[in-house]
Amino acid sequence: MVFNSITQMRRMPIFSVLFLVIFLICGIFGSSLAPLDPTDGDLSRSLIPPFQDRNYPLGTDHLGRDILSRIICGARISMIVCIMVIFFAGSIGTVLALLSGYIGGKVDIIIMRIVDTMLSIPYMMIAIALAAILRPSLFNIIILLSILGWTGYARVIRGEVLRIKDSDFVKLAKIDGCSKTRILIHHIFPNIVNTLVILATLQVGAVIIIESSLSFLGLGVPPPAPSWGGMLADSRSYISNWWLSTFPGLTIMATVLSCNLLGEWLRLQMDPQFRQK
Amino acid sequence: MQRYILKRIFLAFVTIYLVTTLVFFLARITGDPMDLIMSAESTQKDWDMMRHQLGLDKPIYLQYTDFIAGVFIGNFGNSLRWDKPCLSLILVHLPATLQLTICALLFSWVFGISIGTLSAMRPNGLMDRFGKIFAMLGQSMPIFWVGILLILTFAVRWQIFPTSGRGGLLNLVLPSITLGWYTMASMTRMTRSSMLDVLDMEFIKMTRIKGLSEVLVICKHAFKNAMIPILTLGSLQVGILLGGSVITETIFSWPGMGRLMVQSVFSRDFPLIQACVIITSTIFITINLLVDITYGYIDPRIRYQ
Amino acid sequence: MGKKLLEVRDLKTHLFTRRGVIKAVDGVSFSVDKNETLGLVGESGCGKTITCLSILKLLPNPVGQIVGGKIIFDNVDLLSKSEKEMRKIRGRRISMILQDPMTSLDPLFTIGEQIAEPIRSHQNLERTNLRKKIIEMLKLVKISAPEARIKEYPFQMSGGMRQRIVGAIALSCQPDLLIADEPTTALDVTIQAQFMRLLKEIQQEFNMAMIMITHDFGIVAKVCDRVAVMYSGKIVESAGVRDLFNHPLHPYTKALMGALPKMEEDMEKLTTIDGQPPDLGHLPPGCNFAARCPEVKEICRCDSPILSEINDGHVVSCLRVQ
Repeated sequence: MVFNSITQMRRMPIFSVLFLVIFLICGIFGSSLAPLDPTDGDLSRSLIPPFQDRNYPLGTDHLGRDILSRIICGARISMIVCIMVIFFAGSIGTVLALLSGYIGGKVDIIIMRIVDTMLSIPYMMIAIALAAILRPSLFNIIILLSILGWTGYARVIRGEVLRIKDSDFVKLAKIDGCSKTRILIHHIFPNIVNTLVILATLQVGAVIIIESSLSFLGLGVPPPAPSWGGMLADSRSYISNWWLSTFPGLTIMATVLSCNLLGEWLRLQMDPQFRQK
Repeated sequence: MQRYILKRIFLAFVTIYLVTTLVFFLARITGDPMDLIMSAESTQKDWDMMRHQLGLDKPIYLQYTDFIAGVFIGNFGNSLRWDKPCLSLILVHLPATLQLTICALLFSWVFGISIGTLSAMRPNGLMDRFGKIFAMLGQSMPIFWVGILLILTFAVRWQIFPTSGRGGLLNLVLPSITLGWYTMASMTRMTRSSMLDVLDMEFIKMTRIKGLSEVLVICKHAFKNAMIPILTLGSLQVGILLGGSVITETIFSWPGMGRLMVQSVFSRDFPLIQACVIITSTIFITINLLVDITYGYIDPRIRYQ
Repeated sequence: MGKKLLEVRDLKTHLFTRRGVIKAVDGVSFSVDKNETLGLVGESGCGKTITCLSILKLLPNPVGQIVGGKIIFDNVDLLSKSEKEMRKIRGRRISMILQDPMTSLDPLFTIGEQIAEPIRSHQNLERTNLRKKIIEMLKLVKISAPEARIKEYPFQMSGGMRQRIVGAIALSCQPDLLIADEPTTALDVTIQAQFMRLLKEIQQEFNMAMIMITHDFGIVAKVCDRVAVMYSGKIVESAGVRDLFNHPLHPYTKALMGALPKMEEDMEKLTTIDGQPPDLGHLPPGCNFAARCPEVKEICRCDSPILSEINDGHVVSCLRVQ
């Protein structure tokens, strides 16, 4: 068994974890880590190609701002949005799923109908509509992504709850005279934590992509705050200056890829039966 | 079968109705639409006039019934910016979006299903390894970056395809690849895994025992059985594509509904935003309905329920 | 004794898995005559099924590989045949019935279509004749109202009926050899006997040879002419059915027979075989059965026994007996 767990650890996507750690460090200490001020431009030094000027290793954008610094500082917005959205969406989704799965009946029907309805509106469409109504700001982006994000949790975890509710140990707990709340907190909740962790990891990637897509459309966190999506949006007017789009794009891809690989690995470790929705 | 179809159609109508309700309430719970419409300089008189014009001064239940009744007959109100009925504006822009979405869907299905199937036929083979990396990368790239990269290489550097606009077939290539990129990656993975599941089954062994050719085994038996999860994913992908069309159309200046929606967001055209969301959802729900009916034709167990 | 239809000589099939090479079939030899029924008996995992899939060359690809031996069917070595040639043999000359009727039919096609497939790919029949042939096959396996059943789907039928459909598919081209892989394990006891009787009848009608894979000596006694007992990838004893029942020589055979309930004895005496079959990836030296053998001797743990003929047609591989 020991041998088994070592081989499992060995398969851990080490690069993904490393990258995510760097992402977190950049998110927390962003402004002090960045070599230059991400918002301070110098028009005389605009559009310097990468790997040429020692001060600007990844080049500068059209306003002469350092791209590396902007990428490092842009991690903050993505990180805050991810953490908050996962917290809110995860909590709302889990609570509603527990209620829906455990109480059943009308509560279940109403909650699941809401979920189904939300899922039958194309995700991006409703995000854009909400973004329009809410006005772009960091806080509103979090609210909007949380309103959209809980449905995934609700669907998957409700299924888990239904399965666990039917299991022998819950039946035994009932025979033992445990109260409904006790069963819910002590017997059912610990058994869905694994699923919750996996869903959360897989959601990070989705949140980053949607957040940057909204920024790209100009509906995300308003400039001049550096955001990855916003950097790509700026780059469209200077498309032949390839470095403006390539580096932020690579950063987004690497972050999302790391989260997906880690989530996939966790999924295999914790529950081979778990299927992606 | 008839009962199954009727039930599905009924459910689709219920969902459209619920979507309409949800859009109505979400728009009003999360903020006052008036804030969106009016600019800072507008006077109190402007506010009152606009409120009255849009019927936002009525009690909420009356607004709701008016709204639902309007949607039912296809009346989404007038666009504030263009001063035309929203529906006719959308109908003008819809063909471009449908053309783009269908091309993207075809692109992602043709490539996704064939790469997935070939991967499943030889697990851990060359194709499988290539497909796995490819799908993983594909699922991690935001589509707006894909679009920019494609423009950068094929339109700016090599100048094979035009950078933007709608026109001939050449104009369609880059936007379709951009939009279909993500869905192709997920289709590849889904096809591979469901094909692997099916190929492992006893009845596939039985078809080989019968002495059927490999083409028949894969294309007739394995494929039809793998079709059900593939179709499920496919119908979900239509939603992703319709949403993604907003971004793709913005990148490539494609004159479709997505760009109309982004424009309406920036021009604070509240009725038009609502109409766009409801109509895209209706399209999405209709596609799901068609897929549900297709299930019935593929799987006799559903048909004879 | 008739003419030899199938002869398997020193067949070696290995499974190349991630954990190492498993010698699933390790030097198996047996033969089947025309019209004869050979029983292939052994615990699950002893290589019976892999042996039969090797004959059809339908091993899981690329895990299973035939690494040695000969499979001579009707005077031709099947191992030298191409995949295309094998396809002409499968279903037409050698056919197989799988264990679980619930999973061996494609749920999305009508049973008529599934019976039609092998006929279509092996024989040229026009539509009306094809339909006639399908109905004839359904009648053969005693399905009532065959005309209506053609359009039905597997999920509309019971397990016993499905297994008869599988039979109809396997028999549709009148094969010379039918391999039945525990065809009744998944069925109710009452239906088991019925299905066995049906197979036996059809065998006589078609002049067909059969390999019956089973772990049930009751079935062996009823339908088989000869028996080969397999243990961990090897044949340990082979004899005519009467000979084997009267004078079992190998301790494993005796143990298997002891595990069969007998009417006249006290039911409490039902014996079991202690221990598990050995891990085929890491075989110890000596006789594979030594660890579980009640009559084990010192020599069994270091020397491997070889198959040798004791009586006419009775071979056994045990150092103690030889």
